[in-house]
Amino acid sequence: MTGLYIHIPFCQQKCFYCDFLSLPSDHDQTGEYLKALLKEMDYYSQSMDAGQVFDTVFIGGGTPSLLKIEELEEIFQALFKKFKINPVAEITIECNPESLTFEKIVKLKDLGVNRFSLGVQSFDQGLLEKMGRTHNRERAVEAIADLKRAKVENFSLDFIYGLPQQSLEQWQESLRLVLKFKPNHLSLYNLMVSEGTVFAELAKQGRLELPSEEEQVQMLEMAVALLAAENYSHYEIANFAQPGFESKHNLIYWRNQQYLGLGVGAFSYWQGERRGNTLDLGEYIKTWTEDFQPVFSEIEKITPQQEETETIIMALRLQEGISYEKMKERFQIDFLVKYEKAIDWAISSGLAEEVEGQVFRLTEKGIPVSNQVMIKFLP
Amino acid sequence: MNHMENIRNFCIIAHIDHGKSTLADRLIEHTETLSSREMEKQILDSMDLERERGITIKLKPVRMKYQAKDGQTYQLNLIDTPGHVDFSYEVSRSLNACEGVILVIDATQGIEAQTLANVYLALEQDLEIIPVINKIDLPSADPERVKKEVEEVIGIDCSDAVLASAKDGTGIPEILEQIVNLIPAPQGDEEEPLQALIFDSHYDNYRGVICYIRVMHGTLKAGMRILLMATDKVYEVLEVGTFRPGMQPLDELRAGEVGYLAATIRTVQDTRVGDTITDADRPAQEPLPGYRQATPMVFCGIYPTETSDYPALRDALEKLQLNDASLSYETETSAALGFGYRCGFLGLLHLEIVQERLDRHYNLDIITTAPTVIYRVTKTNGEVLTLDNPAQVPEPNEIEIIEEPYVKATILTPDTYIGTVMDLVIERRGVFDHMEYLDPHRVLLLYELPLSEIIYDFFDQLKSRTRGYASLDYEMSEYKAADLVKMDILVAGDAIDALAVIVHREKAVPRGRALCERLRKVIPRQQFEIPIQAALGNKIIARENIAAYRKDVLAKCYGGDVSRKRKLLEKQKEGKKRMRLVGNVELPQDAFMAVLKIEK
Repeated sequence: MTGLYIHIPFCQQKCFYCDFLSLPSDHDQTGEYLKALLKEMDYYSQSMDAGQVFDTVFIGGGTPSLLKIEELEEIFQALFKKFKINPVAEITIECNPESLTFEKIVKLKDLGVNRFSLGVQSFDQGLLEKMGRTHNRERAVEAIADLKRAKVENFSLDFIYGLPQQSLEQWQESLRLVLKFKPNHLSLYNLMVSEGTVFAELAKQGRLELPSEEEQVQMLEMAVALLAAENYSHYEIANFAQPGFESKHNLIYWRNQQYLGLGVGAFSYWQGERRGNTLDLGEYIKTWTEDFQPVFSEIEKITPQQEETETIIMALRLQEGISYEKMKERFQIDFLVKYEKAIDWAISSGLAEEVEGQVFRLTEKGIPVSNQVMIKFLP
Repeated sequence: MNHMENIRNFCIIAHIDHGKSTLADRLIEHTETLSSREMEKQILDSMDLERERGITIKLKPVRMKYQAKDGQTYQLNLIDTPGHVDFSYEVSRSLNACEGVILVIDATQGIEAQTLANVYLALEQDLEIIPVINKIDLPSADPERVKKEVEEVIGIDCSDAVLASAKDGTGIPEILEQIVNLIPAPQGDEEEPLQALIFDSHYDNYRGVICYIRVMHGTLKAGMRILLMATDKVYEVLEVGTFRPGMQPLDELRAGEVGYLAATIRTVQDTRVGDTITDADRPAQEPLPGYRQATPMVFCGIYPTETSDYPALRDALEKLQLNDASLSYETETSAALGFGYRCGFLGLLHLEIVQERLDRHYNLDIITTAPTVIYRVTKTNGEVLTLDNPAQVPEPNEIEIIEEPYVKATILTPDTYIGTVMDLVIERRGVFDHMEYLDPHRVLLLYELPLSEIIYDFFDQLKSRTRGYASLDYEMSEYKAADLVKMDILVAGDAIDALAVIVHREKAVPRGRALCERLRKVIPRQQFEIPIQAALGNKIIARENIAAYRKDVLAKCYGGDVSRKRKLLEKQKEGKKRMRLVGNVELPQDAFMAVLKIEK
């Protein structure tokens, strides 16, 4: 499986928790950016193996739904013209409630999008404001209703928990409401306060009152229980899906398979290297308009040992876990022998388990402390 | 003419940072012992650690040829000395190999306690002292005040003291002339039976131990059979020579000369600093005076983090000991830490140096337990135990008395800090002895202090509370009885032998509290709550809890994050190095040293 990621960096306003690459949209360089992006697509389509097929496409951001219909059209036309896209490819676009309209949904479906990921984050008006989101609860509900009305058959909702002053009750109420919409997929992220965000600044000033760790873990446990009752599988640490609706694109990351990332700041795992495009929008635009050459902010040749390590730590995020057979196939190793010490430790601590003698994976108890397990598998 | 007439043997005494190594470099440069191309800055301090810390541990003698103004050529032997209180015995042996010393004093700072201690050693041995006021290029230099201080405190005439700047070379020719004119030539008799003083040695992988020696009487040649008088070992000399500063073989070393000898000696234990080398076939009647065996003062346990590293640790200690006769070690078993070694050191700096060498040169992941002194316990049945490990203290009802070693401490401080210093010393159970004004603003304080109180961050505290102005020196005095008790530390309900400490009963509660609090901070949270308790016998006197962690997870992990997340995990793993699983609790190195770093 091979994935293609396209980054649209613009947002109306940067959310208070966000440490992704996003830029204010009023500072309008969208036109120039899209031109550069098309050049980058050209470059890779020309330098790529003719037989290269992409099985998933993910347009992420930033806020791709901020783009005008014509702009989206331009991207999709180029996408299908320049790359071989698997006819049954999963094609996802990230949207925010405030910029997603019924018309856009219909148009995007026409353009080939078959999966919508909507960043709702919370149904609580107070929390939405605390996060710096520009939409309100009503707009979020309307956007979901629009997806339904447009007969979108695969959509995912993003939520964040562990927000400032969020209570278990609030979270439970949000989850109950979410389930009424029967999303095919849910991403539930535990808030991480990252350096350089508004939240980090507030935390430094002592003005960020987060729920205790215990409460945060309870929020996850509550979600797992509620969602399991509705037949969602907890297939990745922060992701839940109805059967068959797991995110194919994200599974490429978690299975440590190759993907090409286009756009400013986008990452690729391509030709055995992990590469990050420049994070500087001006530089990105300039290099593609003038030089027709990629400029990377980082590039790392992944050694076989690193690949093995990354494969293990990513697979530990997944309910499917680490398959002994696949490890043998991919790395010619006997996983049980090579990692005996780590495996024994994790199983005896109750943080991991073996399934039918074929797979090693985290237990629900191991998920909140997964890093502790993962570091045991580092060389 | 007697060959000794033109030899001058001398040391440089200076406080840390007063410019000893720089001055040595200048002398080597000026006498063209090395071309400037060969000159590497501060060549005498050749070990990395010494460079980093700016201190000298190893003594390296160097021979220079100097054409004096009187038209004659002199052989100058410079013997470098360590500048730390841990190594005062080594200093005294180096001084024994000389007829004079250059006393370097920083023109901006004046005399420090360490300088004073070494000057007294030199005066005791009746050496000629040449004062040099260094760093006169600095704007804050006050050479007149410093000269006056030297005259009043040490009682040596400073009217001819050279005002120098080792940094820019000012005063170097004058210093060389004074060495020739003021320091007496060595005296000795070439015809007498051989007597040579060992003042240091190092281990060479090919030639075995290389002894640094001063020939007092007689002549030493390759091929001779020599006897080491303290250890009673006999060897055949393979090579003699001198340092310029690299090793340069000579036909012989004669009375009055300084150099080295190699004799395929396999261990430095046989060549003890201060021992006398004589001719095995025509031995001297008596060894040179002043030899004593270096006795470790401070002990700690050293354990491998991974039990499988135990043999590697033993090899590393063996190798370190080849080069460091004052390091002692013997096997020890701890219920908490398994197999390891109880190691003895001259002092804390020595301990830290060994610890860093094990870590850096031998790449060993080790746990060091808190240092302790040797306690003397008299049991009710009359048996006397000397203990270098608090875990071995008998049950309270079996103890008649516990005695601990005291030191005589000399502290020099500006008078504005007298109150501060007194407070600190009283906190550490110090007993006032004597106070003296060196000049209107500097005071010398003499105290009797338990050695155990000094190894608990006393020096750091003294420095920080006096903004670095006070200096300290100490010498061992005697054992005194004290109301001491063993304090156990329980982690998750189990007493950890490696964390036990001996404390004064009156201080047990505050120290127990501080120690538990400190441990709470340094022991990382684990998946379960961990109580930390301090106990005297069965009585719990302090308690803290380390809450369980519930969450250690990366919420999101998408494309671009993979390598970054791997690196984050690698960093987290790195943080787990030097952690030792004790029971089911992971204890970091800091936990074992917590007792040293209790915040006041």
